[in-house]
Amino acid sequence: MMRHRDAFRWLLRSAAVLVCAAAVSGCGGGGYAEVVVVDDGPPPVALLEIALTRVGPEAIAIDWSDDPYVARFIVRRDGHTLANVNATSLIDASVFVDESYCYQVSGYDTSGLLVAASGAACVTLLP
Amino acid sequence: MRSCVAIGLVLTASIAMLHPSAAAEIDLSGTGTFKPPSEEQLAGLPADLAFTRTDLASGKWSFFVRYEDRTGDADADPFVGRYVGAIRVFRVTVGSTTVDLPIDQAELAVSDGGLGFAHRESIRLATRSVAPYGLLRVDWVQLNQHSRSDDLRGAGGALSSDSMPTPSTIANLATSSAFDRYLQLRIDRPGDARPLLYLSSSKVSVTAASAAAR
Repeated sequence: MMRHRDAFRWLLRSAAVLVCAAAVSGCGGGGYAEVVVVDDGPPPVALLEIALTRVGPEAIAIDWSDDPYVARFIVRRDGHTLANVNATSLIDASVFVDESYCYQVSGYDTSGLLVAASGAACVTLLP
Repeated sequence: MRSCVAIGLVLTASIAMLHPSAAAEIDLSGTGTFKPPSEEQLAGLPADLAFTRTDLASGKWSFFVRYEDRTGDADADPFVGRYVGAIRVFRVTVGSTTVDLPIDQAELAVSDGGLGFAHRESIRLATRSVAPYGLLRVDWVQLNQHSRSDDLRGAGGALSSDSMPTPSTIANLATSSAFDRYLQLRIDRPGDARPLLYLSSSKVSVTAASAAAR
Protein backbone atom coordinates (compact mmCIF):
# COMPACT_ATOMS: atom_id res chain seq x y z
CA MET A 1 0.00 0.00 0.00
CA MET A 2 2.79 2.37 1.00
CA ARG A 3 4.64 1.46 -2.13
CA HIS A 4 1.70 2.37 -4.38
CA ARG A 5 1.43 5.73 -2.69
CA ASP A 6 5.15 6.39 -3.16
CA ALA A 7 4.95 5.40 -6.81
CA PHE A 8 1.94 7.66 -7.28
CA ARG A 9 3.78 10.58 -5.67
CA TRP A 10 6.76 9.98 -7.90
CA LEU A 11 4.59 9.96 -11.02
CA LEU A 12 2.74 13.07 -9.85
CA ARG A 13 5.97 14.98 -9.29
CA SER A 14 7.38 13.84 -12.60
CA ALA A 15 4.19 15.02 -14.33
CA ALA A 16 4.37 18.34 -12.48
CA VAL A 17 7.94 18.89 -13.67
CA LEU A 18 6.86 18.14 -17.25
CA VAL A 19 3.89 20.55 -17.01
CA CYS A 20 6.14 23.31 -15.62
CA ALA A 21 8.70 22.75 -18.34
CA ALA A 22 5.99 22.80 -21.02
CA ALA A 23 4.48 25.97 -19.61
CA VAL A 24 7.82 27.76 -19.60
CA SER A 25 8.68 26.70 -23.13
CA GLY A 26 5.18 27.72 -24.20
CA CYS A 27 5.91 31.31 -23.19
CA GLY A 28 7.82 31.67 -26.39
CA GLY A 29 11.14 33.37 -26.96
CA GLY A 30 12.09 36.67 -25.60
CA GLY A 31 12.64 36.42 -21.90
CA TYR A 32 14.67 33.99 -19.87
CA ALA A 33 12.83 31.49 -17.77
CA GLU A 34 14.44 29.69 -14.90
CA VAL A 35 13.28 26.12 -14.65
CA VAL A 36 13.97 24.41 -11.37
CA VAL A 37 13.78 20.69 -11.75
CA VAL A 38 13.53 18.80 -8.53
CA ASP A 39 15.14 15.41 -8.90
CA ASP A 40 12.97 13.09 -6.91
CA GLY A 41 15.27 10.13 -7.59
CA PRO A 42 14.40 6.83 -9.12
CA PRO A 43 11.09 5.09 -8.51
CA PRO A 44 10.81 3.48 -5.08
CA VAL A 45 12.32 0.06 -4.70
CA ALA A 46 10.42 -2.42 -2.57
CA LEU A 47 12.28 -4.30 0.14
CA LEU A 48 12.60 -8.05 -0.29
CA GLU A 49 12.99 -10.22 2.78
CA ILE A 50 15.81 -12.73 2.42
CA ALA A 51 16.59 -15.84 4.45
CA LEU A 52 19.53 -18.21 4.27
CA THR A 53 19.43 -21.80 5.45
CA ARG A 54 22.14 -24.37 5.31
CA VAL A 55 20.50 -27.41 3.75
CA GLY A 56 23.52 -29.64 3.48
CA PRO A 57 27.20 -29.83 4.33
CA GLU A 58 27.95 -27.70 1.28
CA ALA A 59 24.60 -26.27 0.24
CA ILE A 60 22.75 -23.09 1.14
CA ALA A 61 19.09 -22.39 0.42
CA ILE A 62 18.28 -18.78 -0.37
CA ASP A 63 14.62 -17.82 0.06
CA TRP A 64 13.19 -14.39 -0.56
CA SER A 65 9.80 -12.71 -0.59
CA ASP A 66 7.87 -12.15 -3.80
CA ASP A 67 6.85 -8.84 -5.30
CA PRO A 68 3.94 -8.39 -7.75
CA TYR A 69 5.91 -6.01 -10.00
CA VAL A 70 8.92 -8.26 -10.40
CA ALA A 71 9.34 -10.31 -13.57
CA ARG A 72 12.87 -11.61 -12.92
CA PHE A 73 15.06 -11.91 -9.88
CA ILE A 74 18.83 -11.75 -9.99
CA VAL A 75 20.64 -13.44 -7.12
CA ARG A 76 24.14 -12.19 -6.45
CA ARG A 77 26.72 -13.90 -4.31
CA ASP A 78 29.55 -11.71 -3.08
CA GLY A 79 28.65 -9.19 -5.78
CA HIS A 80 28.69 -11.65 -8.66
CA THR A 81 25.56 -12.86 -10.44
CA LEU A 82 24.71 -16.36 -9.33
CA ALA A 83 21.34 -16.84 -11.01
CA ASN A 84 18.60 -15.10 -13.01
CA VAL A 85 15.31 -16.71 -12.04
CA ASN A 86 11.58 -16.11 -11.74
CA ALA A 87 11.28 -18.23 -8.59
CA THR A 88 11.65 -17.08 -4.99
CA SER A 89 14.11 -19.68 -3.81
CA LEU A 90 17.37 -21.16 -4.88
CA ILE A 91 19.83 -23.72 -3.58
CA ASP A 92 23.46 -22.81 -3.97
CA ALA A 93 25.43 -26.04 -3.94
CA SER A 94 28.65 -24.39 -5.07
CA VAL A 95 29.83 -23.43 -1.60
CA PHE A 96 32.61 -24.75 0.59
CA VAL A 97 33.03 -25.41 4.27
CA ASP A 98 34.97 -22.80 6.27
CA GLU A 99 33.98 -20.07 3.85
CA SER A 100 31.49 -17.21 4.17
CA TYR A 101 29.08 -16.11 1.50
CA CYS A 102 26.94 -12.99 1.18
CA TYR A 103 23.80 -13.02 -0.95
CA GLN A 104 21.65 -10.22 -2.30
CA VAL A 105 18.52 -10.44 -4.45
CA SER A 106 17.32 -7.79 -6.90
CA GLY A 107 13.95 -7.83 -8.65
CA TYR A 108 13.37 -6.29 -12.10
CA ASP A 109 10.09 -5.58 -13.90
CA THR A 110 9.32 -6.47 -17.52
CA SER A 111 11.07 -3.29 -18.68
CA GLY A 112 14.24 -4.24 -16.83
CA LEU A 113 13.82 -1.59 -14.16
CA LEU A 114 14.93 -2.40 -10.63
CA VAL A 115 11.74 -2.47 -8.56
CA ALA A 116 12.67 -4.58 -5.54
CA ALA A 117 15.82 -5.53 -3.67
CA SER A 118 16.95 -7.27 -0.51
CA GLY A 119 19.73 -6.31 1.81
CA ALA A 120 22.87 -8.42 1.91
CA ALA A 121 22.61 -11.58 3.98
CA CYS A 122 25.70 -13.53 4.93
CA VAL A 123 26.31 -17.03 6.23
CA THR A 124 29.36 -19.02 7.23
CA LEU A 125 29.71 -22.76 6.76
CA LEU A 126 31.32 -24.45 9.71
CA PRO A 127 32.58 -28.04 9.40
CA MET B 1 30.21 -6.91 70.97
CA ARG B 2 31.31 -4.79 68.01
CA SER B 3 34.62 -6.63 67.79
CA CYS B 4 32.77 -9.97 67.72
CA VAL B 5 30.65 -8.76 64.82
CA ALA B 6 33.76 -7.51 63.02
CA ILE B 7 35.55 -10.83 63.51
CA GLY B 8 32.49 -12.63 62.29
CA LEU B 9 32.36 -10.51 59.17
CA VAL B 10 36.06 -11.07 58.47
CA LEU B 11 35.65 -14.83 58.89
CA THR B 12 32.65 -14.86 56.60
CA ALA B 13 34.54 -12.86 53.99
CA SER B 14 37.55 -15.19 54.26
CA ILE B 15 35.39 -18.25 53.73
CA ALA B 16 33.73 -16.57 50.76
CA MET B 17 37.17 -15.86 49.27
CA LEU B 18 38.22 -19.46 49.70
CA HIS B 19 35.09 -20.52 47.83
CA PRO B 20 34.58 -17.73 45.29
CA SER B 21 31.44 -19.22 43.83
CA ALA B 22 29.73 -22.54 43.78
CA ALA B 23 29.16 -24.31 40.50
CA ALA B 24 25.75 -23.73 39.08
CA GLU B 25 23.66 -25.65 36.62
CA ILE B 26 22.19 -23.61 33.83
CA ASP B 27 19.22 -24.54 31.68
CA LEU B 28 19.28 -23.46 28.08
CA SER B 29 15.99 -23.70 26.19
CA GLY B 30 15.49 -23.01 22.54
CA THR B 31 12.41 -23.21 20.39
CA GLY B 32 11.76 -22.38 16.79
CA THR B 33 10.86 -23.46 13.31
CA PHE B 34 12.64 -24.99 10.38
CA LYS B 35 11.87 -25.48 6.73
CA PRO B 36 10.42 -29.00 6.48
CA PRO B 37 11.97 -31.44 4.01
CA SER B 38 10.12 -31.81 0.72
CA GLU B 39 7.56 -34.60 0.23
CA GLU B 40 10.11 -36.37 -1.94
CA GLN B 41 12.79 -36.14 0.75
CA LEU B 42 10.38 -37.34 3.43
CA ALA B 43 9.34 -40.30 1.31
CA GLY B 44 12.97 -41.35 0.97
CA LEU B 45 13.64 -41.51 4.71
CA PRO B 46 13.80 -44.88 6.46
CA ALA B 47 10.91 -45.86 8.72
CA ASP B 48 13.13 -46.49 11.76
CA LEU B 49 14.25 -42.87 12.05
CA ALA B 50 14.00 -41.29 15.50
CA PHE B 51 11.47 -38.80 14.17
CA THR B 52 8.35 -39.56 12.18
CA ARG B 53 7.58 -37.96 8.86
CA THR B 54 4.79 -36.05 10.60
CA ASP B 55 7.36 -34.69 13.07
CA LEU B 56 9.63 -33.60 10.27
CA ALA B 57 6.79 -32.12 8.24
CA SER B 58 5.68 -30.04 11.25
CA GLY B 59 8.59 -27.65 10.87
CA LYS B 60 8.70 -27.16 14.64
CA TRP B 61 11.54 -28.04 16.95
CA SER B 62 13.13 -27.21 20.24
CA PHE B 63 16.13 -28.15 22.33
CA PHE B 64 17.06 -28.22 25.99
CA VAL B 65 20.56 -28.29 27.44
CA ARG B 66 21.52 -28.33 31.09
CA TYR B 67 25.17 -27.54 31.70
CA GLU B 68 27.43 -26.91 34.66
CA ASP B 69 29.16 -23.54 34.44
CA ARG B 70 32.38 -24.21 36.38
CA THR B 71 33.78 -27.05 34.29
CA GLY B 72 37.45 -26.58 33.45
CA ASP B 73 38.85 -25.98 29.99
CA ALA B 74 40.20 -29.23 28.53
CA ASP B 75 41.87 -27.57 25.54
CA ALA B 76 45.42 -26.19 25.90
CA ASP B 77 44.89 -23.74 23.03
CA PRO B 78 44.73 -20.27 24.65
CA PHE B 79 41.97 -19.27 22.25
CA VAL B 80 39.88 -22.43 22.40
CA GLY B 81 37.87 -23.58 25.39
CA ARG B 82 36.57 -27.12 25.36
CA TYR B 83 34.34 -27.89 28.29
CA VAL B 84 34.01 -31.64 28.19
CA GLY B 85 31.57 -33.03 30.73
CA ALA B 86 29.88 -29.69 31.31
CA ILE B 87 26.69 -30.76 29.58
CA ARG B 88 24.40 -32.78 31.85
CA VAL B 89 21.32 -32.99 29.63
CA PHE B 90 20.95 -32.57 25.88
CA ARG B 91 17.46 -33.05 24.55
CA VAL B 92 15.95 -32.29 21.16
CA THR B 93 12.30 -32.29 20.16
CA VAL B 94 11.12 -32.38 16.56
CA GLY B 95 7.38 -32.12 16.12
CA SER B 96 6.04 -34.17 19.01
CA THR B 97 8.98 -36.55 19.43
CA THR B 98 11.63 -35.88 22.05
CA VAL B 99 15.01 -37.59 22.01
CA ASP B 100 17.43 -37.54 24.93
CA LEU B 101 20.89 -37.50 23.47
CA PRO B 102 23.91 -39.11 25.16
CA ILE B 103 25.89 -36.61 27.20
CA ASP B 104 29.14 -38.58 27.14
CA GLN B 105 29.51 -37.37 23.56
CA ALA B 106 28.41 -33.82 24.31
CA GLU B 107 30.65 -30.79 24.63
CA LEU B 108 30.52 -27.05 24.96
CA ALA B 109 33.23 -25.47 22.84
CA VAL B 110 34.25 -21.83 22.74
CA SER B 111 36.57 -20.27 20.19
CA ASP B 112 37.83 -16.76 20.77
CA GLY B 113 39.49 -16.36 17.40
CA GLY B 114 41.09 -19.79 17.71
CA LEU B 115 41.22 -22.78 15.37
CA GLY B 116 43.25 -20.79 12.85
CA PHE B 117 40.50 -18.21 12.31
CA ALA B 118 41.41 -15.06 14.24
CA HIS B 119 38.47 -13.22 12.64
CA ARG B 120 35.92 -15.71 14.00
CA GLU B 121 34.61 -16.47 17.44
CA SER B 122 32.04 -19.06 18.24
CA ILE B 123 30.12 -20.99 20.86
CA ARG B 124 29.03 -24.48 20.00
CA LEU B 125 27.01 -26.95 22.02
CA ALA B 126 27.15 -30.29 20.31
CA THR B 127 26.35 -33.90 20.82
CA ARG B 128 26.06 -37.04 18.77
CA SER B 129 24.32 -40.36 19.03
CA VAL B 130 24.92 -43.60 17.21
CA ALA B 131 21.63 -45.18 16.22
CA PRO B 132 20.64 -48.06 13.94
CA TYR B 133 19.66 -45.57 11.24
CA GLY B 134 22.96 -43.68 11.40
CA LEU B 135 24.87 -41.03 13.29
CA LEU B 136 22.62 -38.32 14.70
CA ARG B 137 24.27 -34.99 15.45
CA VAL B 138 22.65 -31.95 17.04
CA ASP B 139 24.41 -28.60 17.44
CA TRP B 140 23.48 -25.18 18.73
CA VAL B 141 25.96 -22.95 16.95
CA GLN B 142 26.64 -19.24 17.20
CA LEU B 143 29.38 -17.67 15.15
CA ASN B 144 30.52 -14.07 15.10
CA GLN B 145 32.66 -13.31 12.11
CA HIS B 146 34.26 -10.14 10.82
CA SER B 147 36.42 -9.49 7.78
CA ARG B 148 39.64 -11.49 7.57
CA SER B 149 41.73 -8.48 8.50
CA ASP B 150 40.04 -8.19 11.91
CA ASP B 151 41.50 -9.94 14.92
CA LEU B 152 38.73 -10.86 17.35
CA ARG B 153 41.00 -12.52 19.88
CA GLY B 154 40.92 -11.03 23.35
CA ALA B 155 39.07 -7.76 23.76
CA GLY B 156 38.63 -7.34 20.01
CA GLY B 157 35.37 -9.24 19.71
CA ALA B 158 32.20 -10.22 21.49
CA LEU B 159 34.08 -12.88 23.49
CA SER B 160 36.99 -11.58 25.55
CA SER B 161 38.57 -15.01 26.10
CA ASP B 162 37.98 -18.73 25.68
CA SER B 163 36.60 -19.05 29.20
CA MET B 164 33.07 -20.28 29.84
CA PRO B 165 30.76 -17.49 28.59
CA THR B 166 27.93 -16.17 30.71
CA PRO B 167 24.59 -18.00 30.34
CA SER B 168 23.08 -15.08 28.47
CA THR B 169 25.98 -15.12 25.99
CA ILE B 170 25.64 -18.87 25.47
CA ALA B 171 21.97 -18.24 24.75
CA ASN B 172 22.46 -15.18 22.57
CA LEU B 173 25.92 -14.36 21.30
CA ALA B 174 26.01 -11.08 19.38
CA THR B 175 26.70 -12.36 15.88
CA SER B 176 27.40 -10.17 12.88
CA SER B 177 24.91 -12.15 10.79
CA ALA B 178 21.55 -13.47 11.97
CA PHE B 179 22.15 -16.57 9.86
CA ASP B 180 25.31 -17.50 11.74
CA ARG B 181 23.25 -18.47 14.76
CA TYR B 182 21.45 -21.73 14.17
CA LEU B 183 20.24 -25.07 15.42
CA GLN B 184 21.36 -27.97 13.29
CA LEU B 185 20.35 -31.61 13.15
CA ARG B 186 22.12 -34.02 10.89
CA ILE B 187 21.85 -37.76 10.31
CA ASP B 188 24.58 -39.56 8.40
CA ARG B 189 24.66 -43.15 7.33
CA PRO B 190 28.04 -44.90 7.40
CA GLY B 191 29.66 -44.80 3.99
CA ASP B 192 27.33 -42.21 2.51
CA ALA B 193 28.92 -38.92 1.51
CA ARG B 194 25.61 -37.07 1.64
CA PRO B 195 23.66 -36.89 4.89
CA LEU B 196 20.42 -38.80 5.12
CA LEU B 197 18.79 -35.78 6.75
CA TYR B 198 20.00 -32.24 7.27
CA LEU B 199 17.93 -29.66 9.11
CA SER B 200 19.10 -26.21 10.06
CA SER B 201 17.38 -23.03 11.12
CA SER B 202 18.25 -19.59 12.42
CA LYS B 203 14.67 -19.03 13.49
CA VAL B 204 15.29 -20.15 17.04
CA SER B 205 14.62 -18.24 20.24
CA VAL B 206 16.92 -19.24 23.11
CA THR B 207 16.80 -18.39 26.80
CA ALA B 208 19.03 -19.30 29.73
CA ALA B 209 18.08 -19.64 33.38
CA SER B 210 19.51 -21.12 36.53
CA ALA B 211 18.38 -24.72 36.94
CA ALA B 212 17.92 -24.06 40.65
CA ALA B 213 15.35 -21.39 39.88
CA ARG B 214 13.08 -23.88 38.15
